[in-house]
Amino acid sequence: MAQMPRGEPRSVPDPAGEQYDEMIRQERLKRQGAEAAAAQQPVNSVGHPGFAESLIPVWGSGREAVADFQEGDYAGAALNGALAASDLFLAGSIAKGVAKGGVYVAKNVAKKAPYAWKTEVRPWMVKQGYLKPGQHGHHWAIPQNGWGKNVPDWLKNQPWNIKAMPEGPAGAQMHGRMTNSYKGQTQFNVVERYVYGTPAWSKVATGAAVGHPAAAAKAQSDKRR
Amino acid sequence: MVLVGRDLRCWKVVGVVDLGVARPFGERVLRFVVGQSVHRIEQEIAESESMTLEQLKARAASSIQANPDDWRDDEAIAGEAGPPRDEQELLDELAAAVRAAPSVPQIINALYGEQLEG
Repeated sequence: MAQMPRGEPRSVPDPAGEQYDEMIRQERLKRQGAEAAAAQQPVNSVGHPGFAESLIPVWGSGREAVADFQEGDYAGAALNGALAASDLFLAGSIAKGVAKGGVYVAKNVAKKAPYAWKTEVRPWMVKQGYLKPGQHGHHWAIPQNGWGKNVPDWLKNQPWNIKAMPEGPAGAQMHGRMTNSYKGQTQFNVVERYVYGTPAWSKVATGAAVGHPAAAAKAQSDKRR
Repeated sequence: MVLVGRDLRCWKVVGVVDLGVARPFGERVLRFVVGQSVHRIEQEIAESESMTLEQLKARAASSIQANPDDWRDDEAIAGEAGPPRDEQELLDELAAAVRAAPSVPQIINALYGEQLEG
């Protein structure tokens, strides 16, 4: 049987040695590149919220705006910042409405029309500061007449459904032009009725209702990328 | 403030005492949340000289003309249920309805759209 000769260790030729060294060198370079890319990530980003979290008013869009800003996505930061601001406006409108009474609750439901606009709800709204004395109030979402006749008074004669018109004769004209031509002035078109005939909070709420899901979807798509 | 009964006897309110919130507990909670608590009030009244129906109607009609903001029908003025109406015309019609009322309950019906009998 052959035996290894005794003696000092000696090198032997390695036919695959050069290929192996090249492979190790490539792996090392790849690892260094990955480490360099990871080092460029911001370490102090607050992180993006998840889809559900991004739908939370103020918080979701606020956090998204800060994360976008820290990562250099200034367009995203501006969009989400605007959404957060609109949420704050809505929250403020709701708080102001609650402070003024929010909803009208009839004192005496035994009356023939306890929620009548002219004799019950309108005087209360003037007292609470929703309307100035004599100021026209326009039923913007549920009209007093037309299809609104089938809606109970307790629902449609409430502050949320009343848009204050400008004071004085200008208010009467604006109110009149919502549904008809008024004293020689034509009826408002659809756009004008939306601009003049809806309260600011409803326009902001429409924007938020569209903007929040859009921003959340954008955040999800950014995450997947 | 002058109170007029259906028999045209008159009283002046000379004192008012707030006896606190009224209504059942659940309703009191709801009304507290919306800031519309209903209070029970004790009024001290002193009878004054009665007035005639014509005097009452004249007083009510002049109050309508003197306080148009309180009687404005903004929906009718804006023409939400027909052609726009002139504000002064509406006030004059209301005052005329009050003057045409044959009794105190009918004056209330004319002013507030109620259906009181008498």
